[in-house]
This record gives sequence, C-alpha cells and structure tokens, in this order.
Amino acid sequence: MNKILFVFSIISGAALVLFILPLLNLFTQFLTITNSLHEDWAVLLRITFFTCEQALLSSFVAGVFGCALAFICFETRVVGVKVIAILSHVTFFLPALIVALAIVGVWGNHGWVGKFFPESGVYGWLGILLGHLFFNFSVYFRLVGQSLLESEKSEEKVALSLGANRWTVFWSVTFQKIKKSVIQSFFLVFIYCLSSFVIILILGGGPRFTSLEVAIYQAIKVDFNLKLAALLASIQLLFCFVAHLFSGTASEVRIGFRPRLQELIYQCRTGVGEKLVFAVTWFFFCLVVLLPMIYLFVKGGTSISKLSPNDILGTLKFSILLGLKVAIVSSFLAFSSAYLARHFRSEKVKRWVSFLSILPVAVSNMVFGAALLTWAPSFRDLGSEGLWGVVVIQALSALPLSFRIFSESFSKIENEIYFSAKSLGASHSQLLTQVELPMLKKSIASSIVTGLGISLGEVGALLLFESSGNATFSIWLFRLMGKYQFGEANAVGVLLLFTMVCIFLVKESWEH
Amino acid sequence: MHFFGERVMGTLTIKNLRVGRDSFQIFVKNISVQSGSILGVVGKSGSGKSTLLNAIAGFETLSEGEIHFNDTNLSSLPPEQRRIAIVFQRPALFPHLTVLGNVCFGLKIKKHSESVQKELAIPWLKKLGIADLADRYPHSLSGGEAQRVAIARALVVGFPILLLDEPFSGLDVELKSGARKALKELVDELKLAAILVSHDPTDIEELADEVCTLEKGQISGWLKKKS
Repeated sequence: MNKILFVFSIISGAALVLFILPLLNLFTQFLTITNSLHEDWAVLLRITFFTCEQALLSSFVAGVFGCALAFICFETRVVGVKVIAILSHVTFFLPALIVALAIVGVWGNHGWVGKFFPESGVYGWLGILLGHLFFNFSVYFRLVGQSLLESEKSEEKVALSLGANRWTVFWSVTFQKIKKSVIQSFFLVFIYCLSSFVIILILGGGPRFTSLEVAIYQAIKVDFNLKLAALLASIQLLFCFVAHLFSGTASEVRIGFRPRLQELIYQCRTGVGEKLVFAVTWFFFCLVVLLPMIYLFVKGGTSISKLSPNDILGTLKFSILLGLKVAIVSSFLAFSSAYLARHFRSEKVKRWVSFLSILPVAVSNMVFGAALLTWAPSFRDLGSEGLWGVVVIQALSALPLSFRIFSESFSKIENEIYFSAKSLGASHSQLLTQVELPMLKKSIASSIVTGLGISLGEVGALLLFESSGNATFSIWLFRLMGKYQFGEANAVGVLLLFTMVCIFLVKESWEH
Repeated sequence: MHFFGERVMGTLTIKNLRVGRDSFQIFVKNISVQSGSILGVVGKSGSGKSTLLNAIAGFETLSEGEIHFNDTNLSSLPPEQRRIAIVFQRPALFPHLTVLGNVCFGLKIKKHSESVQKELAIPWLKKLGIADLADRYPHSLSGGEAQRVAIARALVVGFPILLLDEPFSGLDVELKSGARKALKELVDELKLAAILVSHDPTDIEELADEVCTLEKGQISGWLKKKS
C-alpha cells in the first residue's frame, strides 16, 4: 500500500469510528434500556406510526407532483422549462426554516392564499405536506427527469409505429424505463421526510403531530432524558437504515442537472391541449414553489430595516466561520474516502468505502446528536461553546454530497492519465499533488461551498449543542419565530435566502 | 536534440510472461526488441495486445515471468522507476496543463529547473511541429495535435523503451502518414526499443521491423521483415 493511501485510510478509518461507535452505542442502549423505561408505550407507538405515516404520505404527494412535472417538462414543450429546472435546484438547497416561514406567510390564516380559506388552517397535515412537497418534488424531478433525458426514444417510436396509442406507449415502454428512478426517488424522499425536523416542529403545530425527530429534540432539550432520546433515535435510525438499504440511491442525486433538447414523443398535437398543460403546470408550480419564494422576498425586503446592522454582521461572521470549519472537515473526509474508493485495488473495499460515505444520508442530525451525547456526553462542551460537536454533526451530514462530488470527478480522470504520469516517473505523492489535486480544483471548491451551504441552513445540531447565545442565520430565524416576531423573521429569512442563492450560483458556475 | 539523462541502448527481453486470471490469461514465451527497432504486435480485439503493453509498463501484475532491459530486471520495479515511455490510443494529456506543461511533466517530476525544462522541451515541440501551440490547453487541440504532444511528452524524458498502443488510430489518413514517418525517424535517431500495437496493417507494414501475432493471449506467429 502506498503512503498516501495509508494516510487517507487512517483518516477515513478514524472518521468511520467516530461515526459508527456512537450509533452502535445507541443500539446497545436500546437493548438495555427498554426494560427500565417507564414511558407510555402507546405514546411511543403513536409517534412512530405518525412519523412513518407522514413520511409515506409526503413521499407519495411529492412523487405525484415531481414525476408529473418531470414528464411534462421533458416530454412536452412547456414554456419555461429552464426556470422550473433552476428553481427545482434552489428549493433542494433551501433551509427548512425559510420554507416553513414562507409557507406560513402564504398559506397561514392571514397569508396571501390562506386568508381565502380561514377554516382550513396551515398547521397540521396541510403544512407538513406543503413543506415536504416544496423540498422533495425536486428529488423526483431531477432523478426521473434525468432518466427521461438519458433514455433513447427508439422503442417509443417502434411502439407508435406498431399502432400503440400514447397511453399504452407510456405504460408499456416509457414508464418501464423510469420505474427504477421513481422507486429510488421514493425511498430517498421517504428518508428525508422520516428525519424531517423543522417542518414538523413548526408546521405540525401540536403534540398530535410529534414525529420521532421532534420527540428526540424534546427528550434532550426539554425533558433532559437521554435514555428516552436514545430509544427514539434507535427506532428512527432503524427505519431510515432499512429505507436506505432499499433505496441505494443517495449517491444518485445529481448536483448539476441541465435539461437538453430531445425528440418529443408525447407532445400535444393540438394548440388547446398544449396551452392547458402549460396553464396547469405553471398554476401548481406557482402555488407550491414560486409564491412562497416571492412572499419571502417581498415581506423580508420591506422588513430588513428592522434589523440592526451589528446583529447582521455578527451573525454573518459566526455563520461563515462555522460553515468554513464544517466545509473543510467534510471536504477533507470526502476527498479521503473518494481517493480510497478510486485507488484501492479490492472492489469489495471500494464498495464498502462508498457505502459508508453515503450512509450519513440515513442518519439525521438529531439522531446523530443524540447518539454522540449518549456515547460521550462531554461532546457538548468540546471546543468553544460546544462548537466541535456541531462541526462533527454538520460535516457528516455534508459528507455524502461532497463524496459524490469527488467520486464523480475522480471517475472522470482516465486510467491513461494515471498511466502516463506514472510511466513518466511520478510517485504516488507527485500524482496527488501534480495531477489529481489540480484536476480536482473545481470539485474541491464545489465541495467547500456545499459544506458551507449545509451548515448555513442547519438547525438541529446547533439547537442541541450550541450554548453560547451565538447564532447563525438559521438559529436567529428560529428564535425570532419562537417569539412570534414574524416581521424580523421575514427579514432574516430573506438574508439567509440571499446568502444561499449566492452560494448556489457560485457552485453552479464552478460546476459548469 | 537534447535528452534528459543518459541515453542507454540495449535489448528489451520478455521471458515466460504470464498475466491475468483464470478467465483470461496472456502467456508470452520469448520476445526481444533491440534499440533502434520496432516490434509490431497485431491481433484481434481482446487478444491481449494492450494487456501485454500494460504488463511491460508495470500496470498489470505478472503471475510469472520476467522483463529485462539489458541486465536490469524491470519486472521487480514499480512503473515510475522502469523508464518506459508509453503513448496510448487517446493522448491522455493532463487537462490542467498547457502543451508545454504536458511535455515538461516528466522533467518537472525529476525536479529540473524551469529553464532546463524549457531548454529540453522546446526542441521537441519544434521537431513535432507543435511549437506554436506551447501555451494552449489540451481542450483546444485537434486530435492530431494532441497526439503529437503525447509523443513529445513520452520522448523528451529520454527513456530507452517506447510503447505505442494504437497511437495513430484517432488521426486522419494524411496526418497518419506524416506521424508514421516522424515516428520511424525518431526511433532510428534515438535508438529506442519500441513496441507498436496496431489494428492498421499499414502502420505495421511501414513501421515494424518484426511482427508478432497475438491470438487468445498467446503468440501464434512471427514475421521478420527483410531490411
């Protein structure tokens, strides 16, 4: 084994131990504490049932909307496909808090749309489904859309020429091609919804809508009951892990995705049909995605003068510093793992490295926070004001995306490049410094921006660990919403949104 | 023409070389290539031609056998210490380096100063007709230009052995003919021991001094051309 591979193995191994040991400890706790707990098992069962129920329903609703949108955008000629594609990127990267705030603003009792239906109320099922739909339709849109774009259309042409109508062609040919990506998207969204925290905490609106994630938070921060938190976290981890095994897809989420022109099989043949499809698509898209974003810009923009410039600068500094720490740790880990996955000879080892680097997708920040606190309570005080605990958790949540960025870039370096460099006398370290690192420059930047973005929008780890009163934009927003200061919250929301959009644009320009 | 390091002449010898696993193995009993000559290797797709080159260069682990250059046993050395230059079907240029940067790569690895690197590289760029491309990046080169850069990169380091894996397959007919001529002259001038793998009978006919046919991983025939 060469020296570089050895060093990266040690780094990845250490990170793996730090990741796996707390989770294993969680399961051991689960086995030992179930007898000593005096909780109401009926309540636990209800929470578990609700968690699964909302995740299933949310995945289904997001699936219907996302798949329909992908199909309409890539199989017909709807005006504004590019806008929809770009916005679907943005929604995926937006912090949940902003989404919750915007949904309350649009669909709440006094909101732009909600005031016309005052009896329905946004808190409860409507809010949860809308919140999850806002985020997750883009997973379906991108994965299913990618399959549609990559599939050849010759089979459809043959089926049409043999006399099949378009409906038959869709079910018997096109759907068969995209079936796998629909199923993969479903499980991925199911995991995201299982571990959804902010949307349920804010838009659930009551104890009846307590999910496992919210219950873990309450057990740690309100009841100070780490044993109960461990039990809840174990149950959640079990569900997420099983869904993750089914999906096997986290790595399939494309970071960059651009529509391209292709042959259209399902194009409407009448002008009226085309206009109808266009109108329906844009109506739903505006209601669910565009309106909440416009609301934030309008309301937040007018309220920004309510914030003190010192508070804004202080928060920006703290957010960026924390984000950079997270970005550097996650990028370093992801690079090490991707390097191992590229260079290890054994295919088995490569598969394991990839699997373990993607695994944090199945572990929410709240669950991992509970696991860390149960395993080593002193983590709460590590670093100044518990910040290292936050860095570890956020870095692990950014790891799968960063790993994806690096492993894709490594796979693009042809074997011949390595062979040429080696035949010219390059050692392993020279290969790394003079070939790989310069070639992966954009990926490194992109991974750092991803880590920064994830840290900026994250709330769970900070709520569990941060004790100094310092705040990122997300925490500031969370606190303002808790105090029902929605005017100021809107202003912070728009600042956060602006920062995220800037980060997203930088990332996009580097990737393409 | 300037070379980096001392030019060594001699014979490349391959004895009882076995590479691969149960499903596919190549076995070569005896090959020798002298400095200043080109051995052509022909065979159908999947016959093991590229695997043979990769094994000689050190990118495939040998199950048995030895590769020598004069008295030096190359098979025990890692690829970066074998002093074997290789040119692939695709030019495999480093995309982050300019043409000059690519050609200087091997010299930089040996920690030559920038002035020495340029001094050694520029004559090669001129010889291969790519001197005016020195500051361009690989993505802006045509297939023929890129392949000439790859050849310059392989030759500037002055290694005594040159392996060529279908080096002209991406070129059009006119470029091919010029490239063949240039290569033949270089091998003669630099006294390289070269092995050329090609599908194109004209490549073999014009360049190779000796030809071996590989079939299912084994040499099935030899042809020594009259000078």
